[in-house]
Amino acid sequence: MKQSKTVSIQKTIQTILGKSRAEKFLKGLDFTDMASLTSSDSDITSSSINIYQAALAKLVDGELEKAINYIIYGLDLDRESKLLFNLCKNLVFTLEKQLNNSNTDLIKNTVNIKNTDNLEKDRNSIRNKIKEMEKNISQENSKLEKLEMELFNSKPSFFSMNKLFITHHLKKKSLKPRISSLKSEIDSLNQELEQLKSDLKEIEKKFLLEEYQKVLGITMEVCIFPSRFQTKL
Amino acid sequence: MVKNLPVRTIKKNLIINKDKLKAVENTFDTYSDSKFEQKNKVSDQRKKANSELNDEIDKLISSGGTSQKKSLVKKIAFEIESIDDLSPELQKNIKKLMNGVSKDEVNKLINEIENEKEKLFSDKGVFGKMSSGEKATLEKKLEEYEVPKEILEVNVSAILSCLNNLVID
Repeated sequence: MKQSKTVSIQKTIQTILGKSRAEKFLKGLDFTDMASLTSSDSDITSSSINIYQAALAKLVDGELEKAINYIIYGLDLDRESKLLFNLCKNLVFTLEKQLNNSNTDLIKNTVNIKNTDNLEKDRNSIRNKIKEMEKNISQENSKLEKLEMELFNSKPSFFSMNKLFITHHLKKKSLKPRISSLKSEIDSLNQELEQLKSDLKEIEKKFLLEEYQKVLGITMEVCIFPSRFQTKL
Repeated sequence: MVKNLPVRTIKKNLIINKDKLKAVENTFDTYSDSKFEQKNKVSDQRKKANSELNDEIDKLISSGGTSQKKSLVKKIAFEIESIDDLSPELQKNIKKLMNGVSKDEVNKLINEIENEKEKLFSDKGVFGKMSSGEKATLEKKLEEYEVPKEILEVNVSAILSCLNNLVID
């Protein structure tokens, strides 16, 4: 483990994931979090014990991404930290377990995913469907507005000269069924859109958990096999 | 008798005296602090372990390299071995969280982490692409990097709570 000090976990993650994807994991420490853990006159904000406690606090708050940030930063600072390494290992295992179950959950909880062999393809197709459907709904809504306006304008009032009640009645008779069919069509499109959005959310969650697990896995590998990553940097 | 000293010297002396006073105050605060009393109660065994740790870090520092980082590590005097060693605010939150998370669920996950490590090394696992030699080394390291049971329970409870309440935007 001693030679590991020459290989930075942060740089390795950046090299493997790319700058834009790695950015969220490399934000470093938020010193307001650290301040609540140490007294103001002590200068150990960078110590791994405090970073471990900050990571734990972030997990308690449900901020997994920040906790991962702290684990990476802490292990870069102190490669021998059992506390941080153990937290990292347990997270990797728990995520592995969740991901194993998530394929079954995806099929169970989603309508548009029948098998999980090519989720990336499914994700892109759902994203496109959502875009298309939103466009359709907007077009149908403007049609509906137009029809409702037409019906409203045909209504005779006390001051209208050319509008007869009979004309309005005829118009109403012809437009009402079209309006109601359009409304039900929009409703069903909206329901379909909601389902697509919820399916997409499930897939995105799985992808995100996979990314978290990958980053933590790399962190562990750099700690134990730094030489594997020396050539990549 | 007051000497006729230049203003600059008087100011300098005042600053030095202020610093000395601050140092005395700090020392008094530290000694009267309950944390200090708690630390004094730490067992001899822990002190010995920490002194060994410091010796090891001294060796690392003398071997060169990133001395700045190592000196920061050197400041770690005590390891965290139980919930009581955590900061008071975190202790409070962790205790509250542990009451909310099912103990059975925590123990089940701890057992799975212990007994189903091979899942991480399976072909589809996160370390699936490693050679068998590397897998063996990693497994050995995982055993070396164990923490006290109470801390393991804290870690697993925090992870479970976080993943159960994970919100994806």
